[in-house]
Amino acid sequence: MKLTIEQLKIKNALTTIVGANGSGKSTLLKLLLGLYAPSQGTISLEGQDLKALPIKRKLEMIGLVFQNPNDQLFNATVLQEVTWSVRQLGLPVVEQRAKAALTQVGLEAELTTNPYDLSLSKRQLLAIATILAIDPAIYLFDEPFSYLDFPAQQRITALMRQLSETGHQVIVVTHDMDWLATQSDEILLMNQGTIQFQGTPAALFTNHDFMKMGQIAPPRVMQIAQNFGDYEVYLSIEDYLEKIQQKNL
Amino acid sequence: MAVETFITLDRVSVKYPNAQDLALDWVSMSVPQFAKVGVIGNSDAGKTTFCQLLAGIIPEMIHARIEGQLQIDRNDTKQKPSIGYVFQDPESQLSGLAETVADEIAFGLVNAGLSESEIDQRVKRIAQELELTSILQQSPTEISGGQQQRLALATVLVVEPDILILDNPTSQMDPRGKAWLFEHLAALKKQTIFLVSDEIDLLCEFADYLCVFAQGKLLAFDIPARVINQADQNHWPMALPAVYQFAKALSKTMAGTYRYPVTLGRLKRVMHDDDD
Amino acid sequence: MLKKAPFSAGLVHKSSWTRHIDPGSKFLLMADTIAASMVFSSLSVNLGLILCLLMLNFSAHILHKSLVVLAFSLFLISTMLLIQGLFYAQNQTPIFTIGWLTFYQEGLQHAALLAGRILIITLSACLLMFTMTIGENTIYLEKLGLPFRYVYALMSVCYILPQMHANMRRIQLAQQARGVVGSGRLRQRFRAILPTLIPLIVMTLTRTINRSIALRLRGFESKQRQTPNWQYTYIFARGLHYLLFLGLLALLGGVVWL
Repeated sequence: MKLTIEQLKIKNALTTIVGANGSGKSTLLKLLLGLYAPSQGTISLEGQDLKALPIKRKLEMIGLVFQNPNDQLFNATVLQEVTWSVRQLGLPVVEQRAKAALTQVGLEAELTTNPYDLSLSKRQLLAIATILAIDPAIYLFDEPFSYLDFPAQQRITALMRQLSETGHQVIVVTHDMDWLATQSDEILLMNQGTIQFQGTPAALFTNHDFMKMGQIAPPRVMQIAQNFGDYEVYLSIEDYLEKIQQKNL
Repeated sequence: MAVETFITLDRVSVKYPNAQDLALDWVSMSVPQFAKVGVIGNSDAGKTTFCQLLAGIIPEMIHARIEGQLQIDRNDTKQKPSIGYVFQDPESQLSGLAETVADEIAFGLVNAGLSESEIDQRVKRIAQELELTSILQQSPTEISGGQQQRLALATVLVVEPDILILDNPTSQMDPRGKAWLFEHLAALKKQTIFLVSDEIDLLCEFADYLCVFAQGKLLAFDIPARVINQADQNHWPMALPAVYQFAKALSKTMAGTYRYPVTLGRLKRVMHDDDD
Repeated sequence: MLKKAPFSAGLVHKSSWTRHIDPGSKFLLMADTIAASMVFSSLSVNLGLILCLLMLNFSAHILHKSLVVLAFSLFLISTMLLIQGLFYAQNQTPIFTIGWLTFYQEGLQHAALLAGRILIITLSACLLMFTMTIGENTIYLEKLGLPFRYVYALMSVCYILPQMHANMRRIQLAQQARGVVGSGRLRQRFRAILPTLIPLIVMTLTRTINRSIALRLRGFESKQRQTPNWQYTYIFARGLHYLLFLGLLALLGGVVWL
């Protein structure tokens, strides 16, 4: 995978990365975490070169939730899975952190369950808890919704909001346009290893070339509006309703 | 006209060995032939168990205790209906023996003992339908997750099964790919289809019936509009289609009912009637 | 080489002589070289065999892959040199000393011979493995009359390994993101084993179960199955079989004779 990025700055906000399969989204996340080193150029965090940081220090500041929790779970119980993650980075108050994180994702009743006895959705919640327990400044999520069921999706969406409002940087790779239209502050569109667009959801959905490039379908509300011959950009049903009411006045 | 039932479940329960709870709990439904059934529910609701029961995987290949009756009628050819099953994880689906996408698609046909020219023809046709023609000579392991899912579907569709059971077949596709696949499935006329998915908007457009599972119980089995309206009233934890939310906010019910529409077509009609 | 190819176009075959040789001959060639290295315990014969195999691997365009496999076996060889050089039962003639460790000529010679044999087995197995595709073998074995389910069981070993390897890389990366260090000191490497191995085993098992279900549903055990009719054409296959088989007999006979 070749990735060429001239310059990219991500500031505190809920940022979403979109793009067709194989456009380099996951690679970008792994670069940001330092799992891959750039062959050229630098990635810096608050002015500090990532390369200069020791790996554990880096992981304390940046946490990545992988797409498939089955790649990570190996402990005998849910609680151990999280405490192991915390110990791995040598952080204090292990047990307390782990329990708090598991409560945040709603797994407080499953502490002694074997991770592989959980449903896939709950395994994903557990994987998220292993990162929450570290409490990094930056959260990276790679397609977090593909295995989460509806209630879990709502819980994690609320959690992401809360994180970004408490000064964390949240970066999400997702295909879910309805989600990013209402939740995302900023969007990065990737295509063939480069960033083609950086801006608001509304700006993305106005540009047909970009939408085609990212294999993006507009949010469902826009499809409804287009059915009635209205080709404006709407990010939520409320947006569209407001417009209709104005028209009727 | 009364629709003839094709598949009947009569008070079916499934319990896995060593499990405490029932995986399926007292499920009854009857499904007409060529129906398109959307299957929804949160994780651990019993969707996969339901699919595997229909496919005969339970109890033939996965052991479980079953109570009640599952009846699949013989269709007019007097042969046992054939079943195609697509797994959620495409890598589980593929044989691993095929060097190329074409070989992988042909696998089921070779097993069925078809002639070479017939195989060739069918592989080419299905590849064209599912837009796999350009990658026919590539290795199944080197294509993207979305393409693998389309290939998995092709391997099953190519043998033209009577019943098609799809467990989350679009999980790795991008939005356009998903919409395209749902449309393609909706256009299939010769199959009875069960489709598990979280894409509630697309499901409502696609399905003749929706069934909702929760903790092994079948909460509802009905046409999408009724199921969605009922779900909202009862506060079931599931996504509601955008069309429904929109119509509800505008209080546009469908003519002669107290229900809000769930498909774009019906919404259009409701809005149009209103203009008159 | 593929004569009639409605589907397969021989992906792995590059332009090399190996595509004209049938899997049976390749297998016999492997048996021959291994037998030869077992029969002749002279170092120079084994060295000659290694050179021959290296050349064959090179001309088949697979040397780069084989060398990766060789690198794995080098670890085994180096421990063998160490242990035999120090502790071989017939050690008499000291050659050199490092610190308080004295190495003996007999042990080193014995280890060198064993090392040669390991290299020969590895290189000839590589020649067999890397110049054939799973599809080709499947058809070849099925045409020999082996029931498909046994062919499948045999071949599944061939594709599960690369697949496990790919999964392992992905899992390693995912665990690295939790602070597992997979390289460096032995202790660190050791501690990285479980976090990788457990997800890998669970995943492989799940997939194997699912795949066997999927295959049964796709009519894998069907009695109507017809062996695919498309075929590979091989040069001089029968002749090669006789030749290589005679060679094998001669070598085995040599063991009894000598």
